[in-house]
Amino acid sequence: MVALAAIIHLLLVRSFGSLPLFIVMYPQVLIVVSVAGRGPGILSTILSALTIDYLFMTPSGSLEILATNDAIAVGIFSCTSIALCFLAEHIHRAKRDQAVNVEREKDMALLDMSSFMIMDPDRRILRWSEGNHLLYGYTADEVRAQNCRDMLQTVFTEPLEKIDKELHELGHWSGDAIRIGKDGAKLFVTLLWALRRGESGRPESILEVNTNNTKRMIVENILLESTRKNEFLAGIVQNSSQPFGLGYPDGRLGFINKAFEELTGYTQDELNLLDWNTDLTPPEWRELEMQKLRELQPTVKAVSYEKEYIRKNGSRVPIELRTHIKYDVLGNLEYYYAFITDITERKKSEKEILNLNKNLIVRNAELQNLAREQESFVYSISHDLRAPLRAISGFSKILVDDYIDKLDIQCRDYLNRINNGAITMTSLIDDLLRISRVSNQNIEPIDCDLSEIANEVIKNLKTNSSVNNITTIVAPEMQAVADPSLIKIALENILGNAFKFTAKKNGAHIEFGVLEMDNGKVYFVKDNGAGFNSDYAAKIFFPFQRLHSDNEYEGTGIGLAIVERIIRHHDGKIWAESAIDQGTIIYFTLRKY
Amino acid sequence: MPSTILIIDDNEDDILLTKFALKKIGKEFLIETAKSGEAGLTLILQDKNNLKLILLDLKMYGMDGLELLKKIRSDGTMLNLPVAIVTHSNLKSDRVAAEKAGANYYLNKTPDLNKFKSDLEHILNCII
Repeated sequence: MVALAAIIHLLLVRSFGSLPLFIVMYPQVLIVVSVAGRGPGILSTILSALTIDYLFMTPSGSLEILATNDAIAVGIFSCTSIALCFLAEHIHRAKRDQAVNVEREKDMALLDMSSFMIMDPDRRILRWSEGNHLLYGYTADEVRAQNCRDMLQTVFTEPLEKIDKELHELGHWSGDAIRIGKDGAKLFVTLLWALRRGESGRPESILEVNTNNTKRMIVENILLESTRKNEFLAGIVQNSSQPFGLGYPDGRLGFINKAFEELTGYTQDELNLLDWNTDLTPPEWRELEMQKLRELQPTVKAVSYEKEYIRKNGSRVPIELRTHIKYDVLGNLEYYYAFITDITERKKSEKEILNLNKNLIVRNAELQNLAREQESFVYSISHDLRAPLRAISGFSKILVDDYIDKLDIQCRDYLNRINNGAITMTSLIDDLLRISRVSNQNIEPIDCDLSEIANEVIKNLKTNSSVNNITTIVAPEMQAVADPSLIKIALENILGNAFKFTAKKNGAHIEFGVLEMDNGKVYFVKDNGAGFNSDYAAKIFFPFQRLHSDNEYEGTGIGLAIVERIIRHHDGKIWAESAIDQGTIIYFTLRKY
Repeated sequence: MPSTILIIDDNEDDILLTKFALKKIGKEFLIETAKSGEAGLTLILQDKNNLKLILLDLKMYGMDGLELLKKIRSDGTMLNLPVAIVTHSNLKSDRVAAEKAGANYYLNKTPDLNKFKSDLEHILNCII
């Protein structure tokens, strides 16, 4: 640069005198200063001054006294140029420092986004980054000079003494802690501490860098919880008394429990080598099982069926399976799993029940035969007895009617008694036949209207009754499921009794109604007739039991016995309440359908 | 010529009682009797044109009342011949069977002779 300037100066000096010295040399020095710095600038100044001086030397090479005005110019140049060097250097440095500062501030702003703080040795917060603000929710102003542990309710995963010891010995520490943010949320953080000491070695401040692990911890906790849950469930299944087995479509067995081992007699290791389809299942059950498994699909997740397992000892055990299907994420069949029940006992019971049922059917048929025989016997008895009775009563009647003149009074009386006895006995035989038939009759229950049946019965009774002033009340629409023909017989007897025993009463009153009780309907027939001693209330339902003499009220005592059998056939109950001259209430129930 | 009434019954007592009841009714009848179904059938075939009424017992040894009745009804010439089944049975099933076989009346052999007589009289009134 100096050489180039000297040549330019030499070319110009002839024409312009000492003026080019300043015009050419100043820029040259300035360029050197700006490019290379202050030192080279001064060097350049000196070289420039010497070069100019050389120009004033004589060609002989001796150093002559410079012209006075040139010497002054060179002096001024040298001084100002050196000053210029210092000034340029200063300006240049100031500019460079400014640029560096701008960069640093940018870096700091970026750094501030990370989570860190600076504390004094007493853990009072000195500096709080924007990153920490975002993490904990507190602004720098809110935390300034606050105790960090109190503020964030820090809980360390290791003792604080140990942490402090490590920090002071090594100058740094890192570990995990749980803190509470401004919004009260729990935060899992990893802390990195660095201790800064002063010149005297005393701790001055601590830098803490935070890493937020909350999300990771949540995920880890979920995974951990899920794993624990799986282990817990697996434990339950493993120790369950119900056999459990998992099988793959290719026949391999997966997870099985102890009960499964006990059921089959194989150990887990042995089962690992077996095929659940070909080794454990007898051939005749395989197709049925496959059919059932084919029913499984995303909408039908489980099927139940029975089959057998072949045990290790070759014996077979009947089982019931509840088999579920498991698909993989792509929706392909992954495996089956089944809860298995040993149904040996059930099968045994079923067999026993089947046998019992067979026996019962046979027994039932026998009973039915017996009932038929009984009815046939009673029928033939009644028929065969009736004929001679008719002869007794018939011929005694003829004697009374046609041969009365030839008989004395005593004789006539005896004949009348013979006749009446025969008629009574015929009634008894008829009743015997009726009760036998009712007892053996199969009931055919249908929906029927008891009110309607009762009204029809009452109408007939009123037609045949000599008494006119009987008030009857029948509750409307008493619906029941019963055999209408049998119920009619029952009501004929109950209501017939009510008519009979109120016949001598003034203002006779008969009511048929129903009471709604907790355990169902209770029907009743109430009269205000002669009544009876309640001590005999249970007796009246036995055949031929009478509480009144023939002189008082006619009858054979079979009516309520028939009613009792009809009600019993309907799985109902019948009972009576009565008091002499207070009337009677007959209650009955019918089976609920 | 008085109408003929045929009594078919294997019980002699009952024949006597029926005869007595008929006598008491006091109408003029010619009464014929048969003590079995077979004998009854023979008489019917002989006298079918003169018969006014057959009083037929249901339960008899050998050919019983129902069987005889069916035979009578299966003969096209005796479709309208009045037949009353007379029996001790008051079973509804017997009554139904009798009606089904073609009986015109059903008369119960009640031991109450007065009732028997009045029931019989009612039947006769219907015929004559």
